[in-house]
Amino acid sequence: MTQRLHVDWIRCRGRGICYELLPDLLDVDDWGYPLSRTGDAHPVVPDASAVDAETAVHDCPRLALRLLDEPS
Amino acid sequence: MSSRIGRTPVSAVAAATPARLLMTTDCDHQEHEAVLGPLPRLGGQELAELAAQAGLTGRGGAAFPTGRKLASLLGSRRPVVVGNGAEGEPASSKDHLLLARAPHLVLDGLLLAAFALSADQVYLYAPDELLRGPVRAALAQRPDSGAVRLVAAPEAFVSGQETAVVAAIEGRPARPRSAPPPTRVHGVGGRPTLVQNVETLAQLALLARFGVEWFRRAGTDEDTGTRLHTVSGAVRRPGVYELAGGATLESALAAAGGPAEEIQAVLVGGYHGGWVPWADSTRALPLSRSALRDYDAAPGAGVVIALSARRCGVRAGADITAYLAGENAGQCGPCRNGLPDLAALLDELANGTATLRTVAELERVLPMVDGRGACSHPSGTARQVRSTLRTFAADVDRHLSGGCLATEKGRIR
Repeated sequence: MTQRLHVDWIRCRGRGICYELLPDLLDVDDWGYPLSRTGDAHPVVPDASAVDAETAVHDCPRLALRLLDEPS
Repeated sequence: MSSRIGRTPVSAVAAATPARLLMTTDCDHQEHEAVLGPLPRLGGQELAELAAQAGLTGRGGAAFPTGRKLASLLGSRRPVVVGNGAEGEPASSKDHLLLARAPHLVLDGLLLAAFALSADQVYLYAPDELLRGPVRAALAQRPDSGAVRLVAAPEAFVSGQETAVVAAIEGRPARPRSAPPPTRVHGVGGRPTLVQNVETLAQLALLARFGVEWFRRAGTDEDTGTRLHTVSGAVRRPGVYELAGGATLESALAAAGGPAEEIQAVLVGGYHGGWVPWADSTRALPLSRSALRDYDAAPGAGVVIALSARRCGVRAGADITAYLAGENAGQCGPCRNGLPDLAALLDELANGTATLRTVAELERVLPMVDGRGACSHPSGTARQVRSTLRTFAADVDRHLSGGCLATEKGRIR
């Protein structure tokens, strides 16, 4: 199962937990919002980042992050 | 925003061949049925298969296969059916035309879908003046329309996005929400919801009466049947025209009386669409997804805007982008911040106050907007900006050195 990161842009206020925890996956844009480094709107979470991704989902103060399961 | 092209007046509407959707314009219900025959009642499976075999696709812009959408709702408990006539695109008038002049065909399609899916809530979502006028009058003439509820769509670019439609029907501001899950799974009140553009519903109403073979008699294998196009800009008779699927760019302009002057490019698919340079090599291109892929354009909701050679393409793109920036719903950070940034940069370029850095800055900001919102508004706007830079590249260069190709062709500025 591949997991992809989904940002709920309506909830997101750019608090920054996600790109602090997942610097290899997320950069930050000009306005403080997480920016996928792959250019894919729903970047694939590599196995090595799986735990950090779960943490980011739980710790986002806006509850704006989700992991989407995708059959690999 | 002087060069923005306004809504095409419905009085300018004329039917090109083959007239299907406009066979019963301005008819009351009795006359409508006398021309087309009674509306058949089909089961859900039957209607979904009919739509799939006909190759019918959504006419609201996304071209989603209607048969698949219907099939995904089969067996849903208490689904909701919504006819979407919001038509937020300022350069499109086709849905307005259908609701104003052929409301019975739209209501036929709406009731057909509602019956087929055993929906217990049926809505028509459209601008208030259309609901109050022609739609109410049409409903009053019909014995079968008691269940249809009318919801006014606000005049805003994003008010017709599927999730915004659901929000409006639920009594909240008509702004997009975050997907997933899709509306067809989780829509109005959390229930499975079919949102179908009003032209798609009108097409369904004809298809149910006359069948697949008849439907496919017009169009190509890729683009079956007919579709309504709103043709505006530098043409002799701007208006809404019904054309066979796969009609060429040239034939769309010809339906509107042909170019009124020399044309430099055509915007296909509306403000979120793409520019196609007007040249010997492009005028015979069909208005189809595959033929227009190289231009990152698609027929969308059928908008075709011809740009005069005397108008500045960079300015046209900048004005459209400024309009789109003003129409962002203010919900998603990258769209709320990025669209005004893109609009300001493109405006500098159009004004002739830009430097090479401005172009580099545009290229840097574009990926910060693309795909980063709850709806397609940021991506559509990024597409417009990229298309403007690509199509009018020679003029962009000229602007960087203080000139303008359009001015040099005698345009007053």
